[in-house]
Amino acid sequence: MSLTVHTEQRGDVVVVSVAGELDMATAPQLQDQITDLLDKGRNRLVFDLADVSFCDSTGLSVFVRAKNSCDEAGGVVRLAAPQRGVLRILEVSGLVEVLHTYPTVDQAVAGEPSPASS
Amino acid sequence: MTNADPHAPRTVVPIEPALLIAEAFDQAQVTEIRHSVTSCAHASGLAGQRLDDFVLAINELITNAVRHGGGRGWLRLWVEPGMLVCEVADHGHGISAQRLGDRRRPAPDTAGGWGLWLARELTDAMEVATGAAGTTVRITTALASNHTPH
Repeated sequence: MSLTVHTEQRGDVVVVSVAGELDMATAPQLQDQITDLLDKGRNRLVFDLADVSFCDSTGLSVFVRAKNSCDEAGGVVRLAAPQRGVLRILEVSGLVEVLHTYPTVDQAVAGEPSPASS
Repeated sequence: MTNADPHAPRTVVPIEPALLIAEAFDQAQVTEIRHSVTSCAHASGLAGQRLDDFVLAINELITNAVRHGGGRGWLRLWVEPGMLVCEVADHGHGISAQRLGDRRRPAPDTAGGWGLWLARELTDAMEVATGAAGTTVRITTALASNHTPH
């Protein structure tokens, strides 16, 4: 199965658009992209999840690791536009707020103070 | 069943559980087997969030089997009256009693340890049999449409 990851600088953040299913088969691909961005000093990341149809604990781990790394570097990780199933795993695991989840990419890029969970 | 009595009532309670999937898997088949599970569970009447939850729970068990259970595992999915049951077995070294006994939600900054916790959280019942020869996890979800989880 394939995952596509596309990155685009928008203002002071990098929007990482992910499309496909995030599981143990595809998560390493996203992890590599994040490692690459961090190596280049990019630590303000917005993940556009609109086209992610499935995310499991392996995908969750990638976002948690990204958040930890970006926090450490003085940056930030925000999630945007998760579909129902992806929002569900974020809610169940209690990570909606921790991972700064916004309903839209624009809101996540703007980083408005009160992230909405739905 | 026989056709001996053509006037017998047509509503029959099955005695044998209906086996939907019985498959071995390894890392390369994780996505594919998840798709099979989704189709079968949906065809059995599971839908919406309860379908998503059950599929995610099974996915976590499959992932655990591949990552911690010796690289491969065996999955069986079947229907019992009013419920869907899935069993995932591996030949890994087992889960420690300490790890199994800790049912707390992992801390939000930990990247690991979510799989088993999620599987328990997302299903109606979970049983674990584990030892040095491997682990078998059985999860159950109710099929009744008026069922309210937890």
